[in-house]
Amino acid sequence: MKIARRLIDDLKTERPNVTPPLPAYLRLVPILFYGAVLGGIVLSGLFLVVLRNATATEQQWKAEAAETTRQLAEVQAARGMLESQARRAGDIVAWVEGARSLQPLLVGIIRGMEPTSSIISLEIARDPSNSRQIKLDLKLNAQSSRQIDSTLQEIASHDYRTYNPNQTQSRGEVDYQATLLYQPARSLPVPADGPSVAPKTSSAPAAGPSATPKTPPVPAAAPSVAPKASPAP
Amino acid sequence: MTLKDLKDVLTFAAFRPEPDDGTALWTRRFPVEKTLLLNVGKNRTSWRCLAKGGRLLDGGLQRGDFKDIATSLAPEWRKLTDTGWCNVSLNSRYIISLESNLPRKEGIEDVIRTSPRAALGSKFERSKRYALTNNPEHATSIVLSCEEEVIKKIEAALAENSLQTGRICCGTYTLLRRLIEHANADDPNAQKNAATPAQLLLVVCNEGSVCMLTQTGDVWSDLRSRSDFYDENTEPVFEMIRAKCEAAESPPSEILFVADQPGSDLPARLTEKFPDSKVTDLTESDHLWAHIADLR
Repeated sequence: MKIARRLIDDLKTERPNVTPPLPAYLRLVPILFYGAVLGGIVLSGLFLVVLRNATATEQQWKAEAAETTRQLAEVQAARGMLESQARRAGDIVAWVEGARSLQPLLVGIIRGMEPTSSIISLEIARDPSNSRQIKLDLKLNAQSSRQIDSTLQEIASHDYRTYNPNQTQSRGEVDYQATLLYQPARSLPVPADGPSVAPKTSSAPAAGPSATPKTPPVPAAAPSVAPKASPAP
Repeated sequence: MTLKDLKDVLTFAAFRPEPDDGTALWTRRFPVEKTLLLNVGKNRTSWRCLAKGGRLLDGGLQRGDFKDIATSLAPEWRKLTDTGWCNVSLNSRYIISLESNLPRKEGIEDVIRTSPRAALGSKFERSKRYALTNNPEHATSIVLSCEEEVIKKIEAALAENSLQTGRICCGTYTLLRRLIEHANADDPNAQKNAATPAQLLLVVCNEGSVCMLTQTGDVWSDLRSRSDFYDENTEPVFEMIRAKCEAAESPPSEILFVADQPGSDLPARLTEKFPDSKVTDLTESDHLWAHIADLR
């Protein structure tokens, strides 16, 4: 005789809705749940770390971008400064080049001063509206009018002719203003729209010749120069 | 589905039997919780605490009516159980009898728990609860019957003191059932092939109750059961066994003896009285508590 099965005797009042335990394979449900929760926590932590790293990297890149922008601004500012200096240097070069043709004239005027005369101020400016015309403003201390004559001869010797001269003299101080027009000996005749040649003299007769020479055209892009000559020593 | 169901699934409690699921082993229902084991007799109640891992801890014994004892000792008992669940061994007002020609349907021993009339037929009595052990080789059955009133009184007494009844069994019947399983655990063909079938006398002593079953071969021939039959002195039990053996044509070839606790003098006296019979004492430490708690 074999009574194999272990029988459990129970005499208590049975509860009608006693439910049997769930099958063992359904333990996968809570296991998967806890696994999902654990995985979620791990992934959240991982993402948090990555997010923090990304934020730090973003800040670093922003700082680097700001630094680069600042350096770019500095370079641009330096470049602007260099360009400005280069432009000014170019202007100076242009001025020097533009004034090169007047230098013999200025040297001639200065060297033509007599020992008893001195230059108070000498100003030569190219007319911006007509670059062929050069405004001459000369102030002298001179005892006689010979100094003006010799100066005009010196100007004429450099192939410049004077137009619209205006001379004022008072107490040994001569203020001479005229428009110079370069007119070499073999130059073409001055066009009809050239400057008027009627000299105006307030206290002395006009010293310059009255003519309407023709001047070769000067490039419009020529720089205007306003050299000031200091009085001759 | 309620929130509790979800909680039970997430705490794995839904994969264990419910605390009052009578079909599940006690150790499966409470694998980690402390529970209280009670042995309720007519005028005495003993108890032990079953802790995690099947360890039996503090216990005690009190004489008197169970309701009074439960009321007075309830605070102490509640400390011995984590969730208030108790396993009660009923040791009084029960009858273990040998019946024959009961229905032998498949699973009838489980059906008797819910519909005893279907299992017992005309032998069913209202206001009684039953347990059944069929002899697979013979038309005899061991039937435990118990007054429903007694069970309800025990349940009410425990409930009044904030204790819950997880199981109510008859300790004597449980020990007898385990003893039958042990006696017939060998090769089932061994006794059939023997020239003369072995005559076994199975004796169960449980805190004043005694039950004797005579098995000849595979046949259960006689069963005698008394509750509240002896106290400290085991002389009435010895006399009962002696009368039984002397009334038989020949003394049993083997006497299998178990008691609720080791240390009984009966095995030695039986050996002395019946030298031709092999007396085997199968009592182990905390034998009753271990078996009603399904530890062995």
